[in-house]
Amino acid sequence: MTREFGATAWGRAWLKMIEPVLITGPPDRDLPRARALARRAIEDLAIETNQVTVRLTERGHEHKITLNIPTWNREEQNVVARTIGQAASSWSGDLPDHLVTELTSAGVSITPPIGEITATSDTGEASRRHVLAICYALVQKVDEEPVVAVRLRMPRVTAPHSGGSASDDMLALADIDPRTFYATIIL
Amino acid sequence: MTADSQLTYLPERASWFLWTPDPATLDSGVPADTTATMRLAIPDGDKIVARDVSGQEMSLHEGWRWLRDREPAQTDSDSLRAWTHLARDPDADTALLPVAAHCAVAVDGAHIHTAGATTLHLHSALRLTDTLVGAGLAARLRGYQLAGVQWLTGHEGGAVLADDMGLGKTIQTLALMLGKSEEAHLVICPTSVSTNWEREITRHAPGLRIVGDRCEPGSGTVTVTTYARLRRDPARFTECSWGVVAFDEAQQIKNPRTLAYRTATAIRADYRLAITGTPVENELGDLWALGDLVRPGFLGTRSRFRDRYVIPIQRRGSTTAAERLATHTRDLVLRRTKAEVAPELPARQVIDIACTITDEQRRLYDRALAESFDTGLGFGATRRTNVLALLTRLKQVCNHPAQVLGQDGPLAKRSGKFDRVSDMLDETLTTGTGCLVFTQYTAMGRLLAGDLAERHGITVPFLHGGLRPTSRDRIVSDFQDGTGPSILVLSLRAAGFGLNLTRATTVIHYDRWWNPAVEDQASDRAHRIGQDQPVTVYTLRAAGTVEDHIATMQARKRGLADAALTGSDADLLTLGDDELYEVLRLNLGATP
Repeated sequence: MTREFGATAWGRAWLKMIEPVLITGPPDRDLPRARALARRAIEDLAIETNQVTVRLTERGHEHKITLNIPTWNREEQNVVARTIGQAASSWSGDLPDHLVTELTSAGVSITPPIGEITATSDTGEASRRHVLAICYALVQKVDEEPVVAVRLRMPRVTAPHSGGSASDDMLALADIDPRTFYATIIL
Repeated sequence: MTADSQLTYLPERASWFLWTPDPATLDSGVPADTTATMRLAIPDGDKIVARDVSGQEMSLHEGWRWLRDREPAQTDSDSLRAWTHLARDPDADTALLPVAAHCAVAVDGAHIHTAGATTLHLHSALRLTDTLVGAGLAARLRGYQLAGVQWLTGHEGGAVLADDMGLGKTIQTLALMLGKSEEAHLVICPTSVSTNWEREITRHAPGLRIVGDRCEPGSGTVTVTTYARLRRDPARFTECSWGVVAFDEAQQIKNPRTLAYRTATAIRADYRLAITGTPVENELGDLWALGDLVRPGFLGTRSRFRDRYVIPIQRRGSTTAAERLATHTRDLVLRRTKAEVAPELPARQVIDIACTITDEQRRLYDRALAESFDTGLGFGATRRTNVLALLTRLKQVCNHPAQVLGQDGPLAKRSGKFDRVSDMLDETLTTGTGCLVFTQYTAMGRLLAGDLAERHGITVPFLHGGLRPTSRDRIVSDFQDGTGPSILVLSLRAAGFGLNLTRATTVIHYDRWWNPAVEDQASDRAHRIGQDQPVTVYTLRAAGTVEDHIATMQARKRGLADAALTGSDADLLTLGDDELYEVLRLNLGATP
């Protein structure tokens, strides 16, 4: 049976960050609330290199919240690049689950500690519950596209691409110059 | 032609498109085939946007000939001048082409092909046509079909061909096979369509040789076999290596746990093609099964596919997962709808489908003939009655054993035509295409409607002469305004007049009537004023039976001014016993 959160090892790594396996204190009441928000209240989740932005509506109030995810340090990046290699350019954005184990045993954590994730909100309000809710939503995005877990923690330039259809044979509309559209250009 | 007429090559349709930035100035100084609307990337202020532009579409060859023959004019636009130049000098630099010459928007909506890629497409389309003609393709491919064959050929290993019904999946498959003419090919299909495959090969691809599934395959042969046989004798097909293996109506083997599916995956071939009108029949998992059959591993493992696509899309409506799946299956599945290729389709096309009869039908058919001829048909009025009764019985056998035996069921796997029509109706239900099914027999109409109710849980109305005008009107208006199901079963004679059923773009004649005018009149319910979509009319017939004879008679009568008056079964009444027997007996090897 497919799990709602953490269907892949990559998503589970993020899930473990928010739901620690060893519970030391009283039950965390924010977690069930955060899951409920992730299911119903989050829209337009967008991932732009190390930032996750969502629209979150709670009790009629809409917040636009951005999470900043810290990148791996230089050494960790090298380990990741070596371990993952070509797999990251797979057409589908998938990565094999066993790479999570390999990275972890090489001392690289898939996620940052939750305390290092910072949040900003257009309403000035981003509670711990909100951050957790966005992380739950992120778990599902990572499950759908495991390569997101890697992209989130790589600095902008070296972030591997998920598979796309663009190739040398294609030209993006945005890259066409309207001024020379109709004219043969003599070089 | 006006000075700003632009010429663009459309790689995904293998055709030319002539248009102007200002539509008002377009005029026809060219041998353009049709007026059409295409999605182009064009300037709007200081950016480039994807926009529907109207203009004229020309076929690949017509456009190419025109370009080679015309004199370049001072007033030509740069795109027209560059294409004219390239047509006369194939070695010319493609850098001459301005963006306007290759600005057709690709399926992803965000890219166009580069000048180089567009020119390669064009030259490969021209070469492919020559190759196919040389290899023995007797049909002329429409532009989108040629582009389809190019696409299939370009996707090594295999693909899913999922064009709408009526767009010519069979002919594209045959062209793919002809392109690899030195190899031995295999078609696996439901029993009901195996005869149709053989007839289509004979008619359209005489360059391919049909061999029985017990014969040795060789260079340029096609073995046509059925899923039933694949299950019975798997080794026969897995022990050798094929060029192209085509799985027709592939949704029938979509369950990976079945023997048929497992055997299908074990067949070795350079190219594996799944043909289906419904790649996703019930759920997304179907798509995985088809994808993994033709390109193992391409969609990942089944459970991973489920975790990453099926559950996110079906359970929580994830649009990102749906978009990603669409992007990545674009490389696996070729699917064009009727609407997309509409300008190239005739307003009304008739497709004849020969269906293979079952063993049960064959026994019943032979017995009916034997009984009548053994008893004797008599003379005069008695003979007339007896012959007509025999014809009716034979036609009922062709329709369904349950009809002639007065049963309610079971219905599946007993009639070639019935199995075929079931597949077709399943497809129209999936795509929501409006569909009319005509039959001459009330009993058959009930069986058809009953089967849909049983298998799909929908109430399909049966419109026949016994209905009160009010019920009849309600059925028609429910169908037209979309509140009723998308399928309507009609009795041929009750429905001939006065009905307006233009929601239907598919018409199926389940059985044949002697008089083509009666069938035409029925088909006109869909194809009439107010219809803005092309209509496809399918005529089904049980191959090798009296229905072949009716089809031949119809073909002869069609076009005669007085067909409406003379079409009947009268000519059979004038035949003597021997001649009549010759016309009616089963002739399963025939390929009219």
